[in-house]
Amino acid sequence: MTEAGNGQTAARPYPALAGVPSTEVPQTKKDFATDQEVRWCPGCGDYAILATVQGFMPELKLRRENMVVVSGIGCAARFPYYLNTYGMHSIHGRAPAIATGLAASRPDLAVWVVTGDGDALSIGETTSSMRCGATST
Amino acid sequence: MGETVRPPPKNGNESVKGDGASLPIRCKATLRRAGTGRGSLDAAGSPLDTDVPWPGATTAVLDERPREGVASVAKQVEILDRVVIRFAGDSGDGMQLTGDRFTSVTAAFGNDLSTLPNFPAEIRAPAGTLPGVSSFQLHFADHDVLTPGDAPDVLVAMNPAALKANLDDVPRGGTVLVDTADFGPRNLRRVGYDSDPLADGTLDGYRVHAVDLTGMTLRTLERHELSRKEASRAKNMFALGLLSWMYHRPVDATVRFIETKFAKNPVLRDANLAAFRAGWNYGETTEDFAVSYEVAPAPMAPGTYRNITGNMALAYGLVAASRQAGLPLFLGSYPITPASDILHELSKHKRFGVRTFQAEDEIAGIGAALGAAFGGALGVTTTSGPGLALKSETIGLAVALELPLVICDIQRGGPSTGLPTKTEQSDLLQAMYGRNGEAPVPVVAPRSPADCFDAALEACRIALAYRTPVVLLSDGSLANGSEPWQVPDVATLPDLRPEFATAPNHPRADGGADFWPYLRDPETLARAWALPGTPGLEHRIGGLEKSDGSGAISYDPDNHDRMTRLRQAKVDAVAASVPRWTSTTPAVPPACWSSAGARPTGRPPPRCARCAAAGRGRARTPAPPQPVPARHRPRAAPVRARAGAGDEPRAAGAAAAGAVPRRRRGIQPRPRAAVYLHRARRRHH
Repeated sequence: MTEAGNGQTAARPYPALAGVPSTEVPQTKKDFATDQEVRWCPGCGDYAILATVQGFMPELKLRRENMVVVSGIGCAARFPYYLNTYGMHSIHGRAPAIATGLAASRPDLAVWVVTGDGDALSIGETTSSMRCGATST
Repeated sequence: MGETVRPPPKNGNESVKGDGASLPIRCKATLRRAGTGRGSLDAAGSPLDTDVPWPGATTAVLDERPREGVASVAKQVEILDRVVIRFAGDSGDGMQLTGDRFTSVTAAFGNDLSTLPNFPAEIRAPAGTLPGVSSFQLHFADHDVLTPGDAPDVLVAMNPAALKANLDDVPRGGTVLVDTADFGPRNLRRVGYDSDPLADGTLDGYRVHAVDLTGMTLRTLERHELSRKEASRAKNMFALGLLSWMYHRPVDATVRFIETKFAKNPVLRDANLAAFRAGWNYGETTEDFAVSYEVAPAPMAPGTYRNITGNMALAYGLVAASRQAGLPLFLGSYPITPASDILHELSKHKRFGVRTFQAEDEIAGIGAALGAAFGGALGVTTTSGPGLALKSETIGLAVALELPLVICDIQRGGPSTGLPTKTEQSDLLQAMYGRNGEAPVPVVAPRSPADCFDAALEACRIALAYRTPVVLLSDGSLANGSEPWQVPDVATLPDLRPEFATAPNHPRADGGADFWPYLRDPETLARAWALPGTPGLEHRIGGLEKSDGSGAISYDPDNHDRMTRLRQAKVDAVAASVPRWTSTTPAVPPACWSSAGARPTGRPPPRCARCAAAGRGRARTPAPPQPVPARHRPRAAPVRARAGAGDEPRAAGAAAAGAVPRRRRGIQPRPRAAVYLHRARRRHH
């Protein structure tokens, strides 16, 4: 992967991120944490997932303001509140649809969907979103 | 059918050989004024004493018509001020096309008009049955008309089913033109006629023209290389030709239309042209039609006009709004009658920055539109009543997120699937209240097909300026109906460019600054709108109740009370903003529209200055403006205090808490759900 830096986009292995401007300013895990109190049950696996995501996001060297995290409903859907990017906490099963619209109209954004099993696969629109090839991750 | 002979190549003014009469025919018109006629023509030197308007075209007149008979028929011309025609036939008979063509030439001629297409939901219902009847009604006049008309003056019925389904709407004395070809016993029984209505007195009291339109079309096209079935399909063009003669419609545009439409199929092109001309010539030559009618052009403000349907005008309005706002238009939609045309039309306008997304269902359609709105697009979704029900949860989310979103509900008959192709205005309460919680939204309703353009602009203006979802409430009648529309000068369209947040707006105690997404504009109460991609303004919004100002999740009851009232106050502020905007449709002076409908005060609407000067409308003393009860008053002031409070949010919050009375105990008055009806108000003259 080549890093263009200075807001230029670089060739990346993930097509979804192709148009997203990168940055050379070093980022740390702390940059992606918010001031919100994390409210999950003690021992919940979500803590580990959050820590992991906050940990690898700096490695992507993407501009933080060009990242959007969209979630649906449920415990996992609180995720955007804990990531210091743009974010939207939406409604049951609709995160893929919202992410599709956002990604389709803004190719310069890295759009992420956080969802749980019921939100994604029971009521959700995940399969349709995948089928129409929207560039969300 | 004998040997078929191809017509000779048609060059310029060359006429088909051996086809009987050749035109133009000199026609002496006698003038008789109808009682209701507003137009007046000087009989001496009347412009009606003129050549039949058939300029140098090839003609195909029925062989059966004797030439001598042509010249001897002296036709009367009546001047009418308005006519309502209904074309009715089997779906597949081409009634919508016929009506469409008649409308186009009528619009080009300069009449004011209004149309009402009415067709079955089945793509092709069984032929010759009542459910299969498709009709197109056109009201045209020498003055401004507002509706397609209740009762047709003229009914064109292409089969027994069309006659049966529509005759009750025609008042006695009306004209009924019937194609007799299908009036056999079997077809009559099929629609419930025990005897032939053409002979049993059913049509007593009507002016009846029973004509074998199909038979004559077939004979006209004997020399064309068409099967009998193909040839009979041209009967709608025969009928159109006849009606064009009857109402003095210009023929050039229809000829051009046929030539363009069938450019790739010369056989069909020639057949349709021949049928059209034969119909026209039949009216001109037969004694059955002794009278033709003229409706003078309506006086209109100078400008460029085009005939436009409501859905087309709405689509154009959305594109115009997106250009005026400087935002790309994103339509997330799922097809539904009668809203699908908007999706079809908008999908053609990629060059204007329009993106259309046909989602897997209505819910995903609005979800995508809302997502695009978060990213700074003008988010729009289109649907009808059942789709609005599916979208209600996302509209509620948009109310909570305070993002601009336009929801176009092209209403149809309900409940449930209801009457998909029939019109009804029955979604108002769903638009106003069809969400959980207290989620008020502005509702904009166009009053005519052309007004859909202005209504779309207005809905987008409100959505963008106030950061709120707006329901645009059109309906099937407006969507498919049409009328002349004065193409507006783009320079006169309103500037809809929204202001985006570009820098942190809330100072911190440590000297830094934060971005608070729920700080508001003091006038519109619109919250700050920061687009993803703006450095330093990263923020999270969501369906959980947010703290006014900071936008953090808040379960505080006082905050919820404040936010509930703020969301209502925003809609009230929209209603208060209405008089500043003027329509680009000049047909009705805006002064004649009272703004009282926006706020249900229980008082009659005030008269406009023009009506008052003319002594029209209610004679009364204008009531003094009544104060809005305190419980309904928008609580903008405390918010302003808080927004400007500076670096001590807690202290500002305390000050605000002091300014806003704490909730009283007991049952609280509900904020009134405001509805804003865009000029859908009573006109009083």
